[in-house]
Amino acid sequence: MLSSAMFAPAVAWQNFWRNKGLSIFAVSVMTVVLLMVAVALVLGHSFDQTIKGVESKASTVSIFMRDETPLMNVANLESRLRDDPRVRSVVFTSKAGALQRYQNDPSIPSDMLQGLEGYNPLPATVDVDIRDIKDETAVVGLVKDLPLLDKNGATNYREDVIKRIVLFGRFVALVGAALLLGLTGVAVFIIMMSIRTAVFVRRKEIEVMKLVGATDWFVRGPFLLEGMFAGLIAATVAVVAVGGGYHPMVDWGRSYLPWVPLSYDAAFLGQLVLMMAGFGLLLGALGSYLGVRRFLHT
Amino acid sequence: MHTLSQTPEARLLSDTRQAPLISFQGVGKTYPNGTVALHDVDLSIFRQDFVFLVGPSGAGKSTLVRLLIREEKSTHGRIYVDGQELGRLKHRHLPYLRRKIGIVFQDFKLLPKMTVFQNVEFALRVTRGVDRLTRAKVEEVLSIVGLEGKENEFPETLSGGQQQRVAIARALSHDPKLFIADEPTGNLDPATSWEILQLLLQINNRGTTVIMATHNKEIVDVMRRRVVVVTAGTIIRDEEAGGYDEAPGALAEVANAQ
Repeated sequence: MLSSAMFAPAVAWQNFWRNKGLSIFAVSVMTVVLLMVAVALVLGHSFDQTIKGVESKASTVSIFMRDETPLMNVANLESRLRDDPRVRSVVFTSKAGALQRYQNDPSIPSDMLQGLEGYNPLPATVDVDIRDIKDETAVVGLVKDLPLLDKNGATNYREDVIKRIVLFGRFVALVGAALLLGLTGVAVFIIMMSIRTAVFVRRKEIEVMKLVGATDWFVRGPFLLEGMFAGLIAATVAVVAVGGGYHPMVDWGRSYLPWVPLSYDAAFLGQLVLMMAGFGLLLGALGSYLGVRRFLHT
Repeated sequence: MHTLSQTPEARLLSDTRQAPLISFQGVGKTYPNGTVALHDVDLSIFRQDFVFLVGPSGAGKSTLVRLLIREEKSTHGRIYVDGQELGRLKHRHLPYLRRKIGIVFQDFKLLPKMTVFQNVEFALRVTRGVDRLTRAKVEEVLSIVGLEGKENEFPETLSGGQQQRVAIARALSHDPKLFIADEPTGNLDPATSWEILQLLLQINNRGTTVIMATHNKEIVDVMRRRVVVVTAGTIIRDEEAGGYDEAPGALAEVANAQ
């Protein structure tokens, strides 16, 4: 005899097992959907990392100072920028420091360095790291008209590139969200139809339950668990497949797309397991809830 | 015909201090396809009453039963069961109304994959869960309906009468105040029908109100209990200790129609 607490899980498992064909179909379709979701999440995370890498480079603006700028003025500028909440850090590099850095750069050929003996063409620099790339234009606007700025020197601030990155990031996030929403809808629909079939198979039992005074939650409980069970199995398969393919995919990306700063993030796998388990459970529960709902209210 | 002390009006007078268990007040029911199933029905049924609900097929008996268990809502009028107005009952409170009502049908509605014991236990499980008293309760109701020793059998191995007894045991398991039997003898032979009726009388004698919808003329005539006759959605006769076809006019047509 089953205890009351075990009734819903036991019935859910019995139903799942009795309707093997239907259960396997539902789990298979959900697995495909969750695989796509997991791939989307991994690609999204990799893209996010890449964008962050590009942003961190692009969000550092180098301000080249005129040689005749008094040190006091530079200190004032530094102080002003440090006080701005949009600025993460400010690093001043003197003319001598810039030259030393240039000379120590292994990527600069030695014949280019020979011409610099006794001559330093490099300006002193204030490197400003901005927290959010979207604020870059505003922060640059604060300093670009200052007389101490070397208008002839180049800065690595590229407004058009930054705007494109921000726009592309938004576009990818929007497409990803739409894709996830669509896939979620498909998964919920599949579970709903499968649970509706299970309800139909057990309609006589449910009719008796309602007649003798079972609450809606008592009737709904086993179906909800059945859907969540299917969602969890599908999520497990999807996580194993995508988790196993994550490292090889990053390696492949690095070798075939060397200009894209891809990196393997082991910590993300833990998050992926939690997200997929939660997502699978939620999809299963939502699909089941909708599948039983119509029957309970007739 | 009924004497003054037996008329429903006289009953109402004598029961002024006792609220009816069931009260229909100007109840009408029209289905979405336009079929009018009941017109302005007024009916009071008191505690411990035994009422036969008779009438031809499609007269509105089943609609009355469905309204009582709130499987349907009335289109107009009010229905009270044990002081609760069903029209105002929230969906989430419906199970608690149904736990006050035991109901059996012509087709028994037993679960074929469960044993006799499990069928009865199932009703207890869904309402109050299983505890140490459950087995004793199941055994008690199976003993009331005379099915001791059949606990481990499956419904398909039982006769029609025995299956109806299981359904009755299940309906009794949560000690209902009201017992509704919708054509309980419709699929049974005359001898078995009498056995089932004896069981319903026994339940009534234990203090439970019983409403039995039936086409069985012989049972109604022999029992001489309260008879409510429904024809074309209207109560045309409500008589204490009545018979199936004692009323003039329309009732004779009802009897002939059977």
